[in-house]
Amino acid sequence: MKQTLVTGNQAAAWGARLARANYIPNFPITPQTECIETLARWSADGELTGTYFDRMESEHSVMSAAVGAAAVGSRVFTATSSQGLLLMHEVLYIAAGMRLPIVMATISRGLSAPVTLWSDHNDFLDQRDSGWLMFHAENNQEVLDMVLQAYRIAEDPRVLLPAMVNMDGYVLSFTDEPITIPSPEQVEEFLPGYDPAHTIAKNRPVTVGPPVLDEYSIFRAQNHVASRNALDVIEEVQDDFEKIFGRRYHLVDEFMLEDAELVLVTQGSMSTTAKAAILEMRDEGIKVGLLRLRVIRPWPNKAVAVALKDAKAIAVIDRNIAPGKGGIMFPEIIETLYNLDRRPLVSGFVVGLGGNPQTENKVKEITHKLEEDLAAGHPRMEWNDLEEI
Amino acid sequence: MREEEIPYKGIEGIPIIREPGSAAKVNRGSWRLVRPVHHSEKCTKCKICYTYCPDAAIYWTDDGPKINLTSCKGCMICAEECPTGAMTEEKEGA
Amino acid sequence: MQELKSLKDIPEQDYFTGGSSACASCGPSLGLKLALKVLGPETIIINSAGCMTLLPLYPNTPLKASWIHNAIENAASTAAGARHGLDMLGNSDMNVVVYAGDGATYDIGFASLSAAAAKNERIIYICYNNQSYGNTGFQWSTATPYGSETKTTPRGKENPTGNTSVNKDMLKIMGAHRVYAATASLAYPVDFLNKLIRAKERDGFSYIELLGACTAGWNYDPGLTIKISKLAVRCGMWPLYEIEHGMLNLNKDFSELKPIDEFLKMQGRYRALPRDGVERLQALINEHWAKLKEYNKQRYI
Repeated sequence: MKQTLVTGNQAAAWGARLARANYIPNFPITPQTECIETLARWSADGELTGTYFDRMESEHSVMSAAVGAAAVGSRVFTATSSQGLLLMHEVLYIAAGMRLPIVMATISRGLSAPVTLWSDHNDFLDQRDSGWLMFHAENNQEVLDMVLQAYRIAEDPRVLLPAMVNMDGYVLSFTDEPITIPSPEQVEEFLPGYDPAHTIAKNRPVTVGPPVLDEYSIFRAQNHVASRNALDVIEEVQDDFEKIFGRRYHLVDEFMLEDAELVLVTQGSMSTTAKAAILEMRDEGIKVGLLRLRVIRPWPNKAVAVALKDAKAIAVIDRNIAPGKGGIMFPEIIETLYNLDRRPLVSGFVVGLGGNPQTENKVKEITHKLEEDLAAGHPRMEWNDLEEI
Repeated sequence: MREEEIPYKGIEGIPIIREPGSAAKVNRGSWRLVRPVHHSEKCTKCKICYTYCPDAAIYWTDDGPKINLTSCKGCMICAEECPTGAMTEEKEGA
Repeated sequence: MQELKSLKDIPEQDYFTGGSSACASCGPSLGLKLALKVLGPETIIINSAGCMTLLPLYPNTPLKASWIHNAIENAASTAAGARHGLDMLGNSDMNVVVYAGDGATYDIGFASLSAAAAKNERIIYICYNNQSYGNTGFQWSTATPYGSETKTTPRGKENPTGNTSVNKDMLKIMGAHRVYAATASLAYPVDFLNKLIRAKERDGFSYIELLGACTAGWNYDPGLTIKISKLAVRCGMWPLYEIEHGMLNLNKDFSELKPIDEFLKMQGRYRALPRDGVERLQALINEHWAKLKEYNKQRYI
């Protein structure tokens, strides 16, 4: 199959183009700019037929415009990062509460203050209570595939929730990787047109987002149930996806877990480096494997528990920090394992903030520290980038 | 209700209102301390009261204005603006 | 749609019912009722958080048109999205209209409004101006006039003036965006509705600012909403004028303005303004009126 060299930004833009999004509001922020610039060029050349490319004056307005267009039945795409993602935070909840299946590519970048341009996962993970579906890609192929799948899952009548597809800034967004770009015909077979029943249309006057009284709990519960429903829908679409595009994904990405005693839990592009390190460590006889989280919301608790239950020790590698508490995914893993008959030892590692590179050697260091923790019967919480500063 | 028992309600579980004008049946008459009374013998059918009612509680007929006492909140704009004194104010419950 | 010649020409069909929780005699509520007469049911009203937000209250709405409530500061951008969404779906004859308060328009939503106007989006932005944040109980906004008391600019021993800031000249600001900008008053419904009819026909952005007389905030007897809306125009507190492509047009000219004293006495928010405050306010009004007269029928921007 023919492969094309594209950056992560371009892969996301291809996803939007192939999905035939008809409204793309946008605002620039490093490292997302190339995504919207690509779409702008296509729009100016007439290659985005039926799509309006709308420059807005802030990310908050971008998501607000997305809500306006989705509320009248449009298929909407946008992209942002870091400060921009945080700026639109209140509107994310509104979009989810209105059950509008907007798809957004988030290009992860560390948060101010102090200012950094490079990647970590705080911006993305801080949106985990918003009600959005959240997917995290490992490479540029997965970015494009996730955008296409996101529309199909989000628009499913059992779900009807907005979805974000995250890629690490710079490492993926500005880096060329060879990927297969599907044909419009293939995408049309996988992703039908969008024709919602809960939005405004001609002869269908609807009040979208009114105030409510006691019913508030009921609507919030529906938001939660819809997100849980997505777990089934995500699995279901994989059959069609594999049949049409020849690639298959799962709720979680299991790498050499069959006999693993030590498991590293990661997400995003650092997983590729970790997998390479694991192959080397396997040659040395270390029984280590990797669990890559690719679906963050809804939380795939059963799939995670099944993947991790036989491990002896787990290192949760958080490329983020919740100051005053610790890594964000650490407690989510612990909670998922809490009711198992045997709880594996779980250590936490905070790494790679502000784009600090996670090399194979660092992954090996983490694995050796986990071995020590297992031998001592005592978990640790460690930051692994501070010695070099 | 256990989490796994919560039924998925589909479109009924989405916070939208699909019935236009559904507020018409809501009784705001209980707000009134005073109410407007129309005297057709003085009425010149100028439509001023009908135009200025903020709650559309005055509706227009061939016989002139009629007052919907379910919607009327008793603000008395109609009585204040009526140029001929055809709309007067009366105490509620009189 | 033909322009209206008199009150009797105002269409009789209403797309607005009673039963809302708006205050009795609410000016903005009346504005919405009147606007919907010319906008019709194939209209989407984009609402900013404010007094009008509670008009629909699940499962009831007084509107026979569509309504989107997003947040407080993003009505204009939500409207831009709705407009283009409709156009892309082949629904270009549905109206997209913002109905937002002055707090949402002058303050927190200003950037959103300015960008939508700068892009000349085909929407009608109606700002109902009760010169405060009304729904939260009457706090100061940059639309609050000099000398008006509000809950966050109360009169006190140290400060008898209440609000010491002069309200933003929003009409000129919107006029500078090279769109259609106009003021309106509920006491002149034919003028208001004709401006709306003109806005509907225009292929671009229109800004109409309606003085939204507010009995609860301004503190006057409810029945006087229209009288106050008329006096505001007659004494120059709320001149009726428009700016289109930079040309200023005074819609209602008077040989002489009424002094503001009668207007101030009618409202609790001004009643205790000391004499020097009243004189300052009168001077501001006279200065503005002189400017309008000077630039009437001329290029202002």
